[in-house]
Amino acid sequence: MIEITINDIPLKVEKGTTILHAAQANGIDIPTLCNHEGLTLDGNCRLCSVEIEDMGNKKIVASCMFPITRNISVETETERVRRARNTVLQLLVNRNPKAPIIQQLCAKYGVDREERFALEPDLCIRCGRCVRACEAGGTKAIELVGRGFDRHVAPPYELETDACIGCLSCATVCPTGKITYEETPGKRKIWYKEFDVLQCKRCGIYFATKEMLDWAGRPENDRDHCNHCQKYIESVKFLTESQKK
Amino acid sequence: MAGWTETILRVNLTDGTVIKEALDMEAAKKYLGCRGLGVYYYMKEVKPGVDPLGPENNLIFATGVLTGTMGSSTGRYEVVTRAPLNGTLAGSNSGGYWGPELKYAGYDMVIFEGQSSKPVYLNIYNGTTELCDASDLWGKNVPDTTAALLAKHDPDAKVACIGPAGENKVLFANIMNDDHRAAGRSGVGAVMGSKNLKAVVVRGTKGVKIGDKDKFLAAVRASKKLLKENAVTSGGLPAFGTNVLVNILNSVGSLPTRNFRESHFETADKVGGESLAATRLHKNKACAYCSIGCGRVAWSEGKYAGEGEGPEYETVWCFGPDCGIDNIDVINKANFICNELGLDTITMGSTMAAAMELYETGAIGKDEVGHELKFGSEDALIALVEATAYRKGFGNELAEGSFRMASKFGHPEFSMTAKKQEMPAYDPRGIQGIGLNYATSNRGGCHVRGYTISPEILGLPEKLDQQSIVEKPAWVKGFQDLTAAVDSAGMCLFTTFALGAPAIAGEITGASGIEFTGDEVALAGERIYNLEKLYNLSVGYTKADDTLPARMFNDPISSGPMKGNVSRVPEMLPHYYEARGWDENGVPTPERLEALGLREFMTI
Amino acid sequence: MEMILLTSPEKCIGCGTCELACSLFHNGECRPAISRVNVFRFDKGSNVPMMCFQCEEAACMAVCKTKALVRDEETGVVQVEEDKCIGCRMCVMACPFGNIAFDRVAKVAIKCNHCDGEPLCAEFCPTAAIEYVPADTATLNRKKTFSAKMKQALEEVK
Repeated sequence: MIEITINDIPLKVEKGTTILHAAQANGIDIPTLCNHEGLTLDGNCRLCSVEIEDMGNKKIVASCMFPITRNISVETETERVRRARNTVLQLLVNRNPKAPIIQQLCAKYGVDREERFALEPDLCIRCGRCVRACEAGGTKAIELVGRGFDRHVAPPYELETDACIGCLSCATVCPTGKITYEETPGKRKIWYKEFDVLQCKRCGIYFATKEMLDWAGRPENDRDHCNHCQKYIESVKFLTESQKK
Repeated sequence: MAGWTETILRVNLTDGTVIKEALDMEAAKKYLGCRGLGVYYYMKEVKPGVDPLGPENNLIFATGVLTGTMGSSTGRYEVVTRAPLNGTLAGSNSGGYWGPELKYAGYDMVIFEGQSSKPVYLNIYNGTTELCDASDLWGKNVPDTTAALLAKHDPDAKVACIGPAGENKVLFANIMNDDHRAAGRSGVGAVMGSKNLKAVVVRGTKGVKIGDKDKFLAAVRASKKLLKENAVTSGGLPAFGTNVLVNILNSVGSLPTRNFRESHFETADKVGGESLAATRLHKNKACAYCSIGCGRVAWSEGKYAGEGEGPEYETVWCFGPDCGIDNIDVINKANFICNELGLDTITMGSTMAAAMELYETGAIGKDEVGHELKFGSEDALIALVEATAYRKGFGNELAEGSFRMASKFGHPEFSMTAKKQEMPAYDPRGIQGIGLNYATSNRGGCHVRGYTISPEILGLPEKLDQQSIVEKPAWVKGFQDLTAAVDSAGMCLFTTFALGAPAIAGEITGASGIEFTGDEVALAGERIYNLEKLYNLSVGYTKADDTLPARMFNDPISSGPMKGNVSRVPEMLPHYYEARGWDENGVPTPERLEALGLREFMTI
Repeated sequence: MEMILLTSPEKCIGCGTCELACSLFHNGECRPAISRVNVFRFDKGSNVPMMCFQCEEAACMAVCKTKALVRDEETGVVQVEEDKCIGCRMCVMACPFGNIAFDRVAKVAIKCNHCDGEPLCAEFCPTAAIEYVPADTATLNRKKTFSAKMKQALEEVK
């Protein structure tokens, strides 16, 4: 265990714990956008910046990426931290004025929008959570492409791709609601691709794309029901089985 | 707000419109739901005295604040409408799973107005509602209708529907939900039939919000403990169902036999719950969220072979002892037919018993009836139950209930009714309190409007002498009021064997997040009871109707432990009025109404 | 000691209280549609309560790429670590029994976790058709009988 302080509160943490985790475990609030506990670390949003004093040196670090290996003291609300955080928020709110999460953070930290660049308003903050989620799932259907202001998320060549299974995890992890999809009875449309959504043979609800079932390795002969009705089918089998005896 | 969904559906069957409305929350807090709220909405919206089978009558399906919550036995809903059998406000309460499902779809109530020109059913799926053509369902019995609708819609949906009896406007047709549970009495099914409304299908995947989870769980835990420790709710009812009462009532000499000519049945044990459990019972079954599980899944054998749920005690009594029958297969079969065709068993059986007496005294003969119909005529009973639902032959006479039928054949005194509704299975001569309840019950002869059998026979919460009359008026009032509150909250009446007003108030408080005391719950019950009374007064019921059949006063019980007794309702009635704060004519005083918060219904 | 939820369908009276206990504990509302346990009702009074078996070889865990599904080694319970769930629903696809679902509002997979050690379904079951008992030999054998029946049923379909 390593002894550290965060905001002068003495804490003992496991070696290798990130500052962000140590803070969260002790109820100390540090804002983040790109961090997701189920995904690889990326440290690209810089919103979780904190100031540390390490062997007499003071510096600003991204708390999500900084593993604690020796005694350090951490401050989450110094003037430098505030400036760094507010700069990040200022840039974000300029590009993404309508993203609810950005609006909330700006309100919380007292950041007003100053239009310094004439940018097309967007919801994407280029945090890459969607790309990392798609990678984690193994499908790797989308990536961050382009540079500078043109940087955006897309499937290869901006075309529909076989890699996408329509699982919607990209949309689920998106912090701003940028990634949307269309859902109509029996159809799902995302990333230029239209999927057939299978209908439960018992209750009629649309429950999964064939590609999702393939990816999860669901046996071909056991794909007729949504999870609730699958439960029902199992209960029928159980009943039949127990009545045989 | 938690507990209630705060939304109601209003369906105009004449023009086919379905609209959503906000629930009147002030009324919800005062009347809780189900029976109380249904009666309130009915009286606010429908003028007194409309033709029960005409388009001006509203038909309300209402749930309560606790319906669909994890409170005690909360699978209940109530059908409120003007009753075709006797013109009172019918509140027919039913269990099963339909009521909770309506709440999960997001509605506290559905109000049907008008009359459809062709058969329709209402399909509710959460926020989506549609009136659908029911031409191909018309004429189908309850299980066939239910199966057809579940095949067409979500298999997890719940169906409330009428059978042929409702379609043919049999005056005691019921509304059946989940195949086997009945909003049974007063003819609510005939009202549904008159509106050309065959069924209400509902599927809901939302939830009922809970106001204070910790308080609610604490209240429910306390209630479950009381229900578990109570011999009736954790012993008698689960093991033998309500039919456990046959032998009990027979042993106390108060089992009405052969149309109340006697009150002791020689072979009662052949049809009691113990016999049923030993010979014809698959298993017991619970309505939604009930720890008691009094429902029976049973069968019948031989030439009366059948399968189904029930019978309840009152059903066994009316087709059994009251018709002089001790064959459990006949009783079960008659019960199954009633459920399939949508008939109230109590009125059916009691009307049959009156017909048997008419037959035995020669007032009717084989020519009219088409069968030999003596007490104990098993085949005739089965055939005539079916004929009643279709109004075929003598079934058309039976379909009018015993009061109209017996009057038509010149012997109204053979009708064992209070306010034209058949009295259930407890002899008012043998048990004085229940007689007073029958005489004063707002919907006429009915045991579940003030079940004083609990103290008078079962000794809960304390044992009262069944023949004493001094303390009965207060007990009847107390039971009627608490019952009104329990019915309105959406709980099953059977919980009251173990739970009192404070326990019920605790559950309502937790679920709604609004503080209710036991006294407030009892007061809500009294408010509801008085409101129903005001309706009866507005349609012409008077003190003279707060009575029982002449037989109860003139013909003492002829045999058994209660031999020689008659009902003493006339002696008790003034004290009952007094306990209620009503005047000597049984009219609520302005002071009492004011105190109950019923100013808006006062006439000066 | 490892505890298990043991079901005895023959004791179940079909009241469904377990469904509300479950949704009330996990979601704060009475809502069978989101319950981890479900009761299915059949003819002749047969009822079958169905819930997660906490399988020894859990298909849901195997398919989860973000380690959002983890087994608590002490209790044997497979839990969802919600902040790790990315909503890919592969666990829902993979469970052969339908015992895991996706909550589209909370955007996480949901499954039985024994209510963190005090399962309300068992507490409120009026007939002990669901019991929370130590996983000793006797109960494990009973559970195995149930699982064997389930497995046999499953084999037949394949």
